[in-house]
Amino acid sequence: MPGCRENQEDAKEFQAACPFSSPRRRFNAMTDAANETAVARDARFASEALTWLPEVTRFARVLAGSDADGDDLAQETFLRAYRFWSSYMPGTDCRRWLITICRNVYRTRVVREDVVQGVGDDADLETIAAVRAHNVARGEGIDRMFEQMELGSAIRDAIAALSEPYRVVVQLVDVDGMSYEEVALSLEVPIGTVRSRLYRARRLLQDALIQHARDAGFATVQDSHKEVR
Amino acid sequence: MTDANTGAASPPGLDCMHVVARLWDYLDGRVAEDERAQIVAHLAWCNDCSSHYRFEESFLNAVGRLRRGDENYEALRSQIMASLRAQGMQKD
Repeated sequence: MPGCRENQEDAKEFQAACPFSSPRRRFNAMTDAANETAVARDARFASEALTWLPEVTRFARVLAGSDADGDDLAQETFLRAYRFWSSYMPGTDCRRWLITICRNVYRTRVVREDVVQGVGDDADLETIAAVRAHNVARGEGIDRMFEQMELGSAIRDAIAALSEPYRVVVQLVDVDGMSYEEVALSLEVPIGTVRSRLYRARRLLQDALIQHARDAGFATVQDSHKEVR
Repeated sequence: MTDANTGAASPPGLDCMHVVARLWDYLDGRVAEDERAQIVAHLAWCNDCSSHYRFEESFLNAVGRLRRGDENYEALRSQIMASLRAQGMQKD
């Protein structure tokens, strides 16, 4: 049965994604799950997993690059989570588990690896570049734009325009408030990679938003060559 | 080193380039306590770095405001619940 092999592969994938899975704990959890009634199991799924629907959906939308595709991805994420609910360890971070599933579903669909390895990995330089952007903004009279302009939709658009690795980390850290450590575990990358991608994403966002402010007619003075000090 | 704006003497420790390079680490709470104290002292002394700090802080606040909870996921929730029930889920 083709579906059977697919299910076995899926199960392996989710076992590997489970962050606290020692064989002993997995055995205990599976025993508990086996003794749980279907109604209790479903109630636990509703209270522990479905409660993260907004967070998972926001992540899925950012990952997929559009609301429609993201909602479809979120739905598939919860269907898989339900199917493999017995592999979830009660008391662990359910949001992270769901985000890992979401990411795996997305990767299965898109079938591509990160394309930015080794690009923009010097986080300190990204920070310095962002400060230069501030100098540009100051020279053009738009350095207080984040306080004086309503930029919500512009920021959303700018995040959506980032390539996937960057928009994912900026969404998870700066929008959803996850720690670097949580994101690193969810994305299965080193913390340093989270940091470098995040800082590059921030710098790219700032460039885009400064351009947005110019396009909106807020820039007044052209003086973009001040040095950082 | 003196502050270009005030002529006041620099606090010992970090120069502007170091502080600038570490601003996001500082804003994200990812610097050690002794370095954090030096950055605080530098920001209190240096108008330029303090200005950079406020810009980056206001940027991160603006991005963080996207976290508002006013989006309505009820339609999607209903759709997902219907799919889960089709898979045998007994309670919503």
